[in-house]
Amino acid sequence: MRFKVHQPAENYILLDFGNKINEGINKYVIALASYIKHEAVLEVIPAYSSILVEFDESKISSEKLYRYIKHLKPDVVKEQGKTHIVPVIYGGVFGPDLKHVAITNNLTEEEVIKIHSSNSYRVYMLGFMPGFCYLGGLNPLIACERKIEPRLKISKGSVGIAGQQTGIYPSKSPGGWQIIGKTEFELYRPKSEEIFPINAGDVIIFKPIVNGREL
Amino acid sequence: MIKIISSGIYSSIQDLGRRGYRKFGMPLSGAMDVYALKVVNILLENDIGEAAIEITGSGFSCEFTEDTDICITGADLGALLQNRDLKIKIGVPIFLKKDDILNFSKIVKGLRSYLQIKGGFKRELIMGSKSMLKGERLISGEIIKIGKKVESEVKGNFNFDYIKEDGCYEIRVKKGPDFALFPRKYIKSLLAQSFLVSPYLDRMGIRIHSKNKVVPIERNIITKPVFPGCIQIPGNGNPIIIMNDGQTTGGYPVWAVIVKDDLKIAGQLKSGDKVKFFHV
Repeated sequence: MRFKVHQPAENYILLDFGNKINEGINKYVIALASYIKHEAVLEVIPAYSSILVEFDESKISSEKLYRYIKHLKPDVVKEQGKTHIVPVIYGGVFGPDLKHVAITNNLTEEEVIKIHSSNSYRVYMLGFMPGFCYLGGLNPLIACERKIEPRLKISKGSVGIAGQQTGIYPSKSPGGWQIIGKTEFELYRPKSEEIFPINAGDVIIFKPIVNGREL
Repeated sequence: MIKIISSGIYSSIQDLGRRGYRKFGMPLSGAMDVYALKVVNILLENDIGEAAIEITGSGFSCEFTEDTDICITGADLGALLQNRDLKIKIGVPIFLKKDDILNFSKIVKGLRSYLQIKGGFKRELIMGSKSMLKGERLISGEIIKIGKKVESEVKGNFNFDYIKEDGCYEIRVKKGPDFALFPRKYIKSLLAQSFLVSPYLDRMGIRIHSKNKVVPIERNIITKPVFPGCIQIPGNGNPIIIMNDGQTTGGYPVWAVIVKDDLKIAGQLKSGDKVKFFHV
C-alpha cells in the first residue's frame, strides 16, 4: 500500500496513508505497525491512516529506516483482532442522554438500545486518554451531536455518542458526549498485568443488561 | 531519604518517559527539559536517564535526612540552603549534610529545575518508567528514598545559556506534517511575529498567542499521532505546543514541530515570555 513519509523531527517519521478513515487502510496500518521491529526503533504508534515511528537517530538514519519499513510485507489477513463483549446498562441514571438521542432520531429508547447493541464496532485506534478506543461502525440512525454545554464530569465506564462516533470513557473526565449507558468493562487497568485489554484492530460488541442480566 | 516540606507550584519525579504505551493513549511523560535531566545525572555520575525531581516555579522545599551529594540543573529558581544561608550554584554538585534544608525561593530565570541526588530516587516502575503519571505530583510531607549509587564517568562541560533571564527566546522549527494545509500568507505571519506565552501552560501543553489574530484553519483533519514539540493550530488560531503529558493523538493541524535540540527551551517557557520561531 502506498504512503507518504514525513520527517517532522530528527527522531520521528510519520507514515501517511491519506486523510481518510477506511477499514482496509486501517487494517494495513495496524498490521504494518506490528511488523516494525527494529533495534533502533523506540516506539510505533498507529492511528486511523498513519503511523508515527520514534527512533534513535544515532543508530539509524531516517532514509535507512524508511527503506526497512518499505520492504516489510505485513500479513493483513493473519493479523485479526480479538472480540470483546462489553455489557452495558442503558438509560436511567447510567444513561441520562438516552432519551435525547431517541427523541432527536425519532426513535424509542428501546430502539436506540437495539440499534446500538446489534452492530459490532471495530477499534481503529487508541488515543485521547489512556485506553480510549476510537470505534467505527455506528449506525447513522442513532447519530447525535455533542451536548452544547459539556459536562464537567463524566464517570468512568460511561458509554456515549458524539456525532457519528460511539465510545467508552476509560476514566472520569469532562466531556460533551451524549451518555446513553454505563459499563463495568475497564479499558485501563493500571493495577493488572494486562493494563490495556483492547488493542487497535479488535472488535467490541455491546450487550445490554436489564435487571442485572445480559439480554 | 529526603522529606518534601513544600511541593511549591508543581513538582514531580520524571525520567526520560514511558515508551511502548503511547499506542494505548498513554502520554510519553518524562522531563520537560531532557537536556537538564541528562546533565544533572552526568554530573552526579548516575545513569543518564535516572529520574530526578522536576521543580516548576518557586516554593519547593525539602529536608535531607542523610548526608548526600546533590546537584541542580535547568532553571535558576533561587535554590538556597536555608540553615546555612548558602546559595546553590546551577550545574555544580554539592555535598549536603543530614538536616540541611533546601529552599527554592524565587524564579530568577527559566521555569523548571532538576534536583538530583547521587544514586537517584528509589521508586517503583510504572510501565517501565519512574515518571509520575499525568496530573500526579509530589505532596508536602512525602518521603522519597534514595537509590543505589552506580559508577559512571563524568564528561563534558555543560551550560544552561539557553535559559534567558529576559524571557525572550528564539526556537527553531521544522515544517509540520500539515504544513501544506496552511496558506502562504499565514506561514509568513507565524514566522514574522513574536508570540506571548499564556498563563495556561502545564506539562500537557503550552498555549501561545500574538497580537495579530491568526485566521482560524477550517480544514478538518483525521486524528493522528502527535508528540512533544508539535505546534497545533486549533480553531481559535492560538497555537498550542504539545508537551510531555499531552495527548498522544490530535485532530488539529500541526503547523510546525520544534527541533529536538530546542525542545528544552519549550520546557523552560513561562507565562509572559516571548517566543519567535525560525524555520530550518
